[in-house]
Amino acid sequence: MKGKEFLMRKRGVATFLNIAVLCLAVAELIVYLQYANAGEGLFVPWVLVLLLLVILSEIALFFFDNDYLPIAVAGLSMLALGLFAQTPPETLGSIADYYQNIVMFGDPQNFGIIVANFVLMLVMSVTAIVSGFFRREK
Amino acid sequence: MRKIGLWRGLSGLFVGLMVFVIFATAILSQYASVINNALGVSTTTSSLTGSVVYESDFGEINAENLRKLEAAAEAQTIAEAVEGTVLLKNEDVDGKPALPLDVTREKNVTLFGRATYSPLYKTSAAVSKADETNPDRLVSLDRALKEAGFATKNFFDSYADKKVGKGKYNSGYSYQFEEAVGFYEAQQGNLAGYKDVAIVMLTRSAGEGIDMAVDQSTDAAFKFQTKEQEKNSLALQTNEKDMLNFVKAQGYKKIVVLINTNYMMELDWFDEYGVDAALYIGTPGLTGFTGVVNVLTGKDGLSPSGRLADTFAADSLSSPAIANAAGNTPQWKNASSNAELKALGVNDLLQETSWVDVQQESIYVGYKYYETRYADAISGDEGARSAVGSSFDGGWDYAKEMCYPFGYGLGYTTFRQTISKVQKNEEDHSYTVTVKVENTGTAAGKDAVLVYVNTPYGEYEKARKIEKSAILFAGFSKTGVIAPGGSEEVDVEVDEYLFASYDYTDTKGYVLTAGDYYFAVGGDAHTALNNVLGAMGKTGLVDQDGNAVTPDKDAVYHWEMELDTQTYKYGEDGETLVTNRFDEMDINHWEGNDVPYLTRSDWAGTFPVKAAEVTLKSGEMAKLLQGEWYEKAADAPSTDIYAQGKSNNWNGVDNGISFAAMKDVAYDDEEKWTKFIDQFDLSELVLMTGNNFGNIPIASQPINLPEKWGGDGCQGIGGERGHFSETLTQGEAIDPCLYTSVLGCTFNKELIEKRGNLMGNEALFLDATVIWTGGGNLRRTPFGGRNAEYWSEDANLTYLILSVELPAMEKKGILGGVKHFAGNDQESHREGLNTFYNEQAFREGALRGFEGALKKGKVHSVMQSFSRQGVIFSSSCAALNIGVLREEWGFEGQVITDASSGVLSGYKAHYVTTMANGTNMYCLDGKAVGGGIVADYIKANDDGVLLGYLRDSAKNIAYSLSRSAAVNGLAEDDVISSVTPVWQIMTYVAEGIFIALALGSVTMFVIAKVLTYRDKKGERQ
Repeated sequence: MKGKEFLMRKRGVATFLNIAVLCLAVAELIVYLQYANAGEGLFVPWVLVLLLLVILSEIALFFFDNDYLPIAVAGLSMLALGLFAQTPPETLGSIADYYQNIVMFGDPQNFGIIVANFVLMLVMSVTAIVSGFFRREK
Repeated sequence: MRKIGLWRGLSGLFVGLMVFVIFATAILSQYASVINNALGVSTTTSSLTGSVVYESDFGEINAENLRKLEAAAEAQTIAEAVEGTVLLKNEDVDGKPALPLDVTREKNVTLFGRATYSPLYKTSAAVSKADETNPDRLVSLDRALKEAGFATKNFFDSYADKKVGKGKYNSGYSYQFEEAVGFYEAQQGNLAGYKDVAIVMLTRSAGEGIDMAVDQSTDAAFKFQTKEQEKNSLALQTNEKDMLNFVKAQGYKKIVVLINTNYMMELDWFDEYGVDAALYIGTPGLTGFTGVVNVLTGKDGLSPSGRLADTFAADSLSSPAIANAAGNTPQWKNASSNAELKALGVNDLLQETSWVDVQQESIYVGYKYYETRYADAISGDEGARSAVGSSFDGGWDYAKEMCYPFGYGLGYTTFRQTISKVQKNEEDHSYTVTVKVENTGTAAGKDAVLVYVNTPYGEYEKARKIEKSAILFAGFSKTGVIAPGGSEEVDVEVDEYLFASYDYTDTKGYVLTAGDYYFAVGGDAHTALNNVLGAMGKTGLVDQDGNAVTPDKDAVYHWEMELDTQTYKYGEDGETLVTNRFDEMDINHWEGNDVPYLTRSDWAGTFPVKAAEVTLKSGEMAKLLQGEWYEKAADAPSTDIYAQGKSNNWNGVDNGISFAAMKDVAYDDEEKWTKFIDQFDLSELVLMTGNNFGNIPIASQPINLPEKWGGDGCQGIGGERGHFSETLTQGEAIDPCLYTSVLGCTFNKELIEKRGNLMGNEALFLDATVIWTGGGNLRRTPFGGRNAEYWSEDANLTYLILSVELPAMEKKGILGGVKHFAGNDQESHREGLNTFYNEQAFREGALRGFEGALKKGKVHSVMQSFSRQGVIFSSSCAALNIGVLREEWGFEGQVITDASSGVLSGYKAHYVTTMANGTNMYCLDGKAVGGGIVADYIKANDDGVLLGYLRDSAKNIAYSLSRSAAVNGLAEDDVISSVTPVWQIMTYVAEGIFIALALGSVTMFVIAKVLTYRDKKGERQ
């Protein structure tokens, strides 16, 4: 398929959702790296790897129609979210500290960026899941 | 087609949900004990047949008695506020003192200051949340005034209106809390009819993890501010000044200021803004404002009797401690980055290793600095009079530096205190100082009697670097109500130990140096000092306002002593030598460092005007900082010397001894305790090291150790389950009472003991066995975030309070876990802060409060500090946890870390080293991760020494619990069984369901793909 034809072909809903997932993954990657640099001990390499895999999968889906990748992306994005949440004790600890107005289990100053990470990864995961129900080409 | 899209979508959905549920289950499991506490769910069941060992003073645990208990707690809070509120200023208005207010003539009151709308009832830390959860019980200033008959005009609706008002506290900062003056100008038309009295309330808020800012420009939003004087958060802020000017211009008959904080604000502005009366009220808790208003009105004709437990300096940055503390804390000169630390062999996190607090002030914390420098200045010491350390132009001038000295407090009457007699009690090395208190005024009232001591300071002391405060608080009592013209004699017990000095250079022990000694009274430390100086024949004495004073010779008792290096040579057992254990915590112990400690022999040359520059050296210093230094000793025995290690089966043996059977077994009954501990499997020894404020149960035969809850908080019991069970309250949410922060200002031992008793009773109604409470650290600077949890800047006062409050708690079977051991007197960089000091300052200062609870009070629990002793993590400091605590003080009980939470990285994760150096238990490690790592090391290295430490820990924890309400109702043959909470079962079921759904949908998707492939293949054929 030539490039112009490839780009102009009739795209289905899933393709647009995949693009949304790709954008969300890139945005999350940037936000996550920002968070990881906010202090020592916050960086979990596997979160980065999983986000990169989501991005690569979504790029691949743009070029190659595949039924397995959407399932994998749903799992990978949720896996990234789980690993981020589980990082003890900074993630949930910072949220707990924020609401208790103390600095004990994490760093409440990171509350905003932690919530941003959660929201982005959750929306990314849900979008990835929803995309699996739709076709990529009309 | 085979619905590939549907199965693909469902596969993605269920795979995603499966992953989500697996992580959720893991996270929930990680926090299971916290969740159980929050839900009030137990993981054990039992049918108790034994007797109640520790009974509530309010009778059976039921709803009716709970309400009686809480009513008593609320009454206690009012009493604390009445006796702890400190009257700072009370000028005459129309020929009469501004206070007390007469509600019949001064009924109409206007409330100014955002704090009147959102008062600070407590500190921001773990503490009772009753003020939030029980609003009907909460008494605000407005409510208390109205209940007392006043009509109040307030601006609460405007404060609440976010378009007009601001928001919540910005903890640690004060520049943006108060409204701009335009806010008040807009209310000007509403003030008519309420101009009898203006009450202005100001506050400062910080708390756990957050000090008050010494430089508010560190706050991102502060860059929009321009006024230099606002940088210090304890100074009066621009909006506050504008508001006070506005109030002054409105023509109120009286202006009364309430200081609603636990941080020693700068209060040198009362006269400038026409303030007629001012009171320090701390944080008044649930019902304390009723007490504050009782003081304002002089209810029942009584006079206020609270006295300051801290110094209020004109410049909160003028103390020598602040140069290195709070926001001024520096990093290592040569290691302030990861790369520099790693080059020295330190791999733990930068934020946990690089910050350094050299306590250059030595013993001169709070009044010990201001009063001693004053005494030396009066005595003609040019260094004391020099400009070094002066907050104002010219030489150092006490009257300029001081607002209100330690022990200060006015009343509606006046008293004269004189020393009638002094009796030495040879058997326990104490003195009974009999003080006559005469009411020389016109109102009835109580008076706090504070006894101070002056000890010799001369060539002997200087040669040995022994520092002496010119006036030292040593004991207190409180009179009953004395009618005008009446008098009362009170006996104040003074322990000689409290004015012995620790000589770390020569004797290496406590000494009473030879020379003249003076007991003195007079209320505040400055008056008492002036009385001593007068007795010494000094002249030129002034009060804190610079007025000449005439000392009272009858307020002083003089005697002489010979040099005594023997009386306090040994610890509680009479055998352990009390000697230097903290040489490594003196920064000058380490090569390349030469930092002076403040000495009164050279004020000008040693006063710290900026943070010390200190160097981290490679080798031993860096190794200790890195924190993982435990190694199995070459001659360590095999684990098979213990029951658990025999044949490496790691199981215990059944000696038929239940936990309940240990409740009367003495700590030193080695044979019985060994048999008891032999019964634990290694995994059960590990579980004993776990903690969720309360203990982890051992539901196995024959041990049967029940699960019990633990509370947290000094101003009232908090924690995940900080409310009484709804079964008990008949469905109503009731939290334990929130007490005041001014208990120390009452100088009333009965109230202090009553607080311990009531918190103990509340804990019994909560089914708890421990409260992590009773802060043993000092308010070393006005900025310390947890000042509300500590009692005073003075170590002896802290010692005396904790030796009363916590034993009262333990009498009810509730372990009083004093925290944070030791020297944890700032929140900035508290995690891993390298804290250096000389041993005299440490023993007479930071350690003293804990000594009151643990040595004198003989309580059974202590929580360690996040900070370090020198470069050694407090939880790894054997000198502290074993040498001082167990060997010198004879402590019998459990030692817990501060919140370690089962972390696997960073300085708290050196579990093997901490276990080997006196730590027994890991706080908020509900899964016993730390103990598990210790067990892994034991097994991998066949380390009998470390197994011995683990067994010792289990013994210490079990011993403490056996002296608590954990034994209530527990008979020797009662069985404790473990149960999995319903919520946890549901998570496992959900996990199984979603795994099955994911597998099923993926299988169906694959089948659909295969069938579709076959269909297409068939179509093509």
